[in-house]
Amino acid sequence: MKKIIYTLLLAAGVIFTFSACSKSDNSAAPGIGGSGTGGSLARFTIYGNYLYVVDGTSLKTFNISNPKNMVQVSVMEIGSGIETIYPYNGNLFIGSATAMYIYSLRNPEQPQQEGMASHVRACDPVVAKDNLAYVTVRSTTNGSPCGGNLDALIVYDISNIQYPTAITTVNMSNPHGLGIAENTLYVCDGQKGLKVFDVNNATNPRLIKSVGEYNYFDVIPYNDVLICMVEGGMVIFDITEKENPVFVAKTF
Amino acid sequence: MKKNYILVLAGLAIAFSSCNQANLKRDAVWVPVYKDKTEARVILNLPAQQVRSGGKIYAYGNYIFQLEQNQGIHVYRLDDKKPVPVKFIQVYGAQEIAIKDNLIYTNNFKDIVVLNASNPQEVAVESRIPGAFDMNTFELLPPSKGYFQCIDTTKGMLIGWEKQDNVEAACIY
Repeated sequence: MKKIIYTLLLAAGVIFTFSACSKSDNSAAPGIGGSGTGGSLARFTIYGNYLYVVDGTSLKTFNISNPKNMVQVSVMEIGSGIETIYPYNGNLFIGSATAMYIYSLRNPEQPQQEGMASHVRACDPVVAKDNLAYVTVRSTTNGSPCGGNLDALIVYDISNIQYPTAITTVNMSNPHGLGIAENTLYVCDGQKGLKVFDVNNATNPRLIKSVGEYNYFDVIPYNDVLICMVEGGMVIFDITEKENPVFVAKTF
Repeated sequence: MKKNYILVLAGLAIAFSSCNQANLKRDAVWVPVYKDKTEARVILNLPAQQVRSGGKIYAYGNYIFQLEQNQGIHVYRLDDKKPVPVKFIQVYGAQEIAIKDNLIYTNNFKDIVVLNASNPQEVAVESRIPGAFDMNTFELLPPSKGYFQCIDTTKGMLIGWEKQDNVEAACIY
């Protein structure tokens, strides 16, 4: 009996899963047609019927229309030190140790480089929303494997994706991953905590608060929860009020 | 990429041995844990486990996921915003995850594998592309800096690290 109830609960979970995905959601990296949401440090991402993978120097595209027989359809050589991939609005934002690249998915089998913004040598996850891209750069001083000596958040205007322009730089201590929900930007600043910024005025991100206690590496704003990767596991916040994360639970 | 990594390790090993005594035994050394190639490919459904070396995170429907560095995937269900441990999927070498239509795309070392999670209790391999992924070598390093026993790929696939005392360690980072 117990087993049957469990199975029913699971089935309910699966149904919920589907209904949750069919709803349109307005999170920063919305699931596109039945796919989930990754963090800003991801190197796998799914957009439409394609799995995009960055590894080392290249961007690989896999057609997953038939998951029993997925097929690699292209490899693009991008440059050295490719680290992260983030899909937004028909484009892929790719972070490397020296630049942020924007690839268009007009032809999803052959992503096309549209724009590029070089920056100082550093590790650099990217997220994007509307006409802005947010990048953190982390220096070797702070243990990044990528080199460099700047620790900062850089905001780019991407209204013309062919010419991303840096509009402001905010110094950070030890920035890692980041995430955006509505007009609130969450930046993981390592042991200095989770930094919550109001980005209504993107030229001047305003630090609202800093949430401490853990060593923060990455975040996913996911509807009304903020999922944080921290040293030791995950921490969950309620972000019904985006600018005011309220601690809910941790997994460790 | 892996070759580069081995070269770097070799370089480190040489750099170290040139200014220190060889065969010196040390305490609190990270020692690689290996699995043989066949065993390393096996995907298993296991009970929920504690996070030891947590990796990347992912959200899908009512579930959230965290990689266990080079070991597999922790699965949690969000219950009123609280994560309830569901299970652990053993996928050695796993560093990445993405999900669509109840299919989990991850890496089992250099292979990209698709896992069918339609029945979350019995996640099963749907397909595999051998050698399609270059692993991030930085994530293969021991969990913390210090001396470690150099990786010997002839001993099998690296699946993790454990601390041991009184062992030789020629590598350091």
